[in-house]
Amino acid sequence: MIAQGSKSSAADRAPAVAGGRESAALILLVVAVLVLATLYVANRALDAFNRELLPLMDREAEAVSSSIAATIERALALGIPADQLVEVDPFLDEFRRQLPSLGYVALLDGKGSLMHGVGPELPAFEAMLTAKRVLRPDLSLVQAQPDSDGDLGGRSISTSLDGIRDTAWPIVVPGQEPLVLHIGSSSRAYDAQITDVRWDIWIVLLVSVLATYEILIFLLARSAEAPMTLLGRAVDRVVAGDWTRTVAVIGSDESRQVLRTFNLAVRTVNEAFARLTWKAEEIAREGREAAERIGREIGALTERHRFAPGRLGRMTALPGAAMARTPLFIFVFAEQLPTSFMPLYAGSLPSSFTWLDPAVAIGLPLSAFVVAVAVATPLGGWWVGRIGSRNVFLLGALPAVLGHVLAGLASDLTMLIAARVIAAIGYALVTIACQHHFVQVANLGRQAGTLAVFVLAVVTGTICGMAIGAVVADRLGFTNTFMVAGGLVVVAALLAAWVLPADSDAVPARRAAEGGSAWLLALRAPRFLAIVILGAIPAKIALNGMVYYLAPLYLAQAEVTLPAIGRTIMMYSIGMLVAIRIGAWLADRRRLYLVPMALMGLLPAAGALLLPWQDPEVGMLIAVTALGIGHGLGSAPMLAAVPALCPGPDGRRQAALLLGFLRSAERVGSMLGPMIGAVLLASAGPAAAALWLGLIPGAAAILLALAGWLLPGRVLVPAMSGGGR
Amino acid sequence: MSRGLIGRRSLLVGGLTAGLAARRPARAQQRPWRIMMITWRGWEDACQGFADFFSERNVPVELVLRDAGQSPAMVTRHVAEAKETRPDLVYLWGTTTAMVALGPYDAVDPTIHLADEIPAVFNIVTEPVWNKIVPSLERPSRRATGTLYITAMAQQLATLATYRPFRSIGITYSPIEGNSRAVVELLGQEARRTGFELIDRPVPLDDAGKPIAAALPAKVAEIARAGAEWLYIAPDTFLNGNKLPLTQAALDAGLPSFTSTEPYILQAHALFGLVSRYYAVGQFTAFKAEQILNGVEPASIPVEPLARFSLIVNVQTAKRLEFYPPLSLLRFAETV
Repeated sequence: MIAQGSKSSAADRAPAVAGGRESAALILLVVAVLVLATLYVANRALDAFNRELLPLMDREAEAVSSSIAATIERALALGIPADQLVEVDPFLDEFRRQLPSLGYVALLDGKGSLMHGVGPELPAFEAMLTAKRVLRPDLSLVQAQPDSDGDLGGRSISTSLDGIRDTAWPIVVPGQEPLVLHIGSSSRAYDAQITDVRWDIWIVLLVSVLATYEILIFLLARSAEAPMTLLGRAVDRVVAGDWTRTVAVIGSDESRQVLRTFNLAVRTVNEAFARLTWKAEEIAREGREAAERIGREIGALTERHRFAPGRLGRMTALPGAAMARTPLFIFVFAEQLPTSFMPLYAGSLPSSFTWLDPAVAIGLPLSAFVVAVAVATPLGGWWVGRIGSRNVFLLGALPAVLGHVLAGLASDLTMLIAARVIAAIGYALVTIACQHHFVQVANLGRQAGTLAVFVLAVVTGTICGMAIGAVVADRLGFTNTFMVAGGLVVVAALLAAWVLPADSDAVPARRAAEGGSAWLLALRAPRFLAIVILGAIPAKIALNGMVYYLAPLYLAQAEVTLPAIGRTIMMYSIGMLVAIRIGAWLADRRRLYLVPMALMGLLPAAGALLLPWQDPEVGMLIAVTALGIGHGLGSAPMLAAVPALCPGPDGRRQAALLLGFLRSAERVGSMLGPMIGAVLLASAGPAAAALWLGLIPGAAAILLALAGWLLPGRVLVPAMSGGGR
Repeated sequence: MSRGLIGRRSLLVGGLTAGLAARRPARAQQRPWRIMMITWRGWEDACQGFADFFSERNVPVELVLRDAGQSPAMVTRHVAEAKETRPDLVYLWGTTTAMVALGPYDAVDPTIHLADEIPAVFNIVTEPVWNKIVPSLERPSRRATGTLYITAMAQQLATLATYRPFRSIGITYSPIEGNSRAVVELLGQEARRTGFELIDRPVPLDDAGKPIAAALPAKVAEIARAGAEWLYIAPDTFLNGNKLPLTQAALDAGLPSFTSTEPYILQAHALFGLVSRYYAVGQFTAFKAEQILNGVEPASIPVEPLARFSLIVNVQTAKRLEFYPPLSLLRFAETV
């Protein structure tokens, strides 16, 4: 009846994939269905689009030709001879520019030779003309039936040539030589749009898959994993002989059934023990010998087992890391929606900072956000210690929603900056609340999966948010995207309210490292300072300056579409995701700290150097991905290097202080990044700015490597073999 | 409750009546407005537009017509009569009429000028600010306002360039007309600003100080020989009296002509015009007049042109000159 051992090990396994093979199979199945359905629908949609395209092009060409022909007819009707029409080419070109699909517009005389023509595909048309492949309307027929109402549609002839659809419109005015107007439509102009739509579909698919995965994880945890883990713990107790507890009945359906069954069993056993002790008392009254014997038997029983009939305690589920993961995922998702267009949006608002270069003014919302986060984080930490992570999450959701809504409604730059500051406060509070929750979970002995869960939720949310935010903004506009973000924060808050434990036994958060002692410590550790100044800060400068600030501006200036900007920026997170494991492996297994940290700076420099030789979208994609890979490689070794620098008995405390210092320093870099980018942009233009932003970490990395090499006799980070950990 | 309802109902009925009443002309008039119309050269389209505006709106007006027969002295006499008979409004047609009747805004002589005794409205006036009729178009600041019928010189020349870009413009005119001197000066400013050549050939005066009509064709030919690409026709009464020989001379000399007022292109052979239809200008002037009659101070009514001007191309002239307009211009232009 009672399952043994296998369930107990589940309690220690990383809760990232709940419950083992069955859950994984379920998730795979759902995701497969989702992907197949989406691909099918997308394919059908694109087919329909292509089918509609040709008639649409014909209709557009007809509208344009009507206008052109009307004016030419008027000129001819006024008696202007056809060969004396003035400035025909600019006139034709004005119309051609209105439609991206028009490859050429040409006017032919009655004998079929070209009088005037404009458009990039004109040479191709002329070639077709010479090869006599272009159909012409039978002008004698048209002249015989003059249709003064100019219903050109009935008299035109279309030919499909290579990739171009030529439509010929006769222009016939009594008393004048007949002319023929040729319009060439090509679908090439639409190819770019179709490609964009395809990309958008892939992005939506990716985000849907990731979001579905997160939601499934959550549901499984709630309905199956949590109850089963609880059951496992309870069973462990029973195996150890403790029959004094029942379990809280949580989860859904079958899980509840199992837990109820367990409780029934426990109660039954306890009642049996109660009857046993009663009977024993009865027997004990009958005589001393009987009493002693019964006492011994019962004593033997209670040595190995404990019972508490009528006073059964209750076990509750421990807070699981999975519980906070989904609200955090949704929150980060919402937070990252505007990332791909924030500088563009800021640039579109009127700025009251007329004394500031516009490029620098655009960077202000980004820097203000970082500063506000830095200020609000210690406040959040203190608060969490007093009222618990759930309440701080909910409290933080309020400014986060307000910040997004205000940002969407912002009428000028100052209001946007204020909105971002408010959103930053919310962001800091929520992030601290989640961190605290995860720390609690880790404290209860499940450290292994916790960090992975936290990082994964944040990274997945970032990828999804960056990519889809651009698509949403492209379709619905900037303001609506902010509203969507606000709405998602509300969803995250509701979810958090539902699932986060209202911890009455709140573990007081560790007090933030005191600034003063951290500084002293840092200044006495030149190697650490080198890592901070030459590694961490340039990395953040590059991230905030290049990815958050410059990339959208650079790409928008090269007329790249908004969804493409989102996809490009997203590559940072993907690069990081891919490289982070490698970086962790390099640090743990190979004890390589300096090499990955140097790569963290060199890879972005390499990417930036390639920029001038590439077309803007591809070049920025390479640069951003290189940045992501570099950061992925370097971040784990950087974090691992700090404790390695603190051998000795006080190492743990020192390491904590230094890590806090490192984080603060990174914030400085995050704040400087947009400002440096803005100054570079204002003084040297986008291409040069991108180049320098990539070269800064590169130069720093070279200096770091030199420092590591030149410091007498020692490598930058001593190979650790135990130390103070 | 029912008393309240009745109260509300009668309020409603009263409101409806008031609303209906409001649709009729604002002032329940006992007698028609009396407007003295001082014209320079007789009744023409602007006056007709002015009169029709009131008749179409069923506003009773009594129009007292006083023509000056192109004589400033007659204008002064009519002004005296106006001060005597005190009409509700004085209508002034033409630049000279307005200048003589109102006097410069900074040197009003109450003995001969209207001197703010009676409100006035003017139209078919060129350059009211340059001619010192009002200090500013936005705020006339005197008891007279009016309408513009010519667009700014820069815009005229920009429009001219859409027909053909040019490097030199010629102009002939009567040197004794203030209008024309104003136009020549403005053209000169634009010539210096945008870098084209202005060929300035005023018509010679006879012993009586009047311009010699017979000299016009020779002057036009002279302008053509000097290399002008366009002939600019200014709003000038002398030229208007000789518009047919003027434009014919331009045709004979192969010189395209441009005008900013309608008579030269609608009733003569000018090639291209950016004009306000006089009739519409007259109506617009009546609109301003109605405001004044209803009590608005003229000093606060701005002097404005119509919102839209007409682009007119004379196709017969174009054919004879073999000088056709570009297709993009033909999209929007009227043709005569």
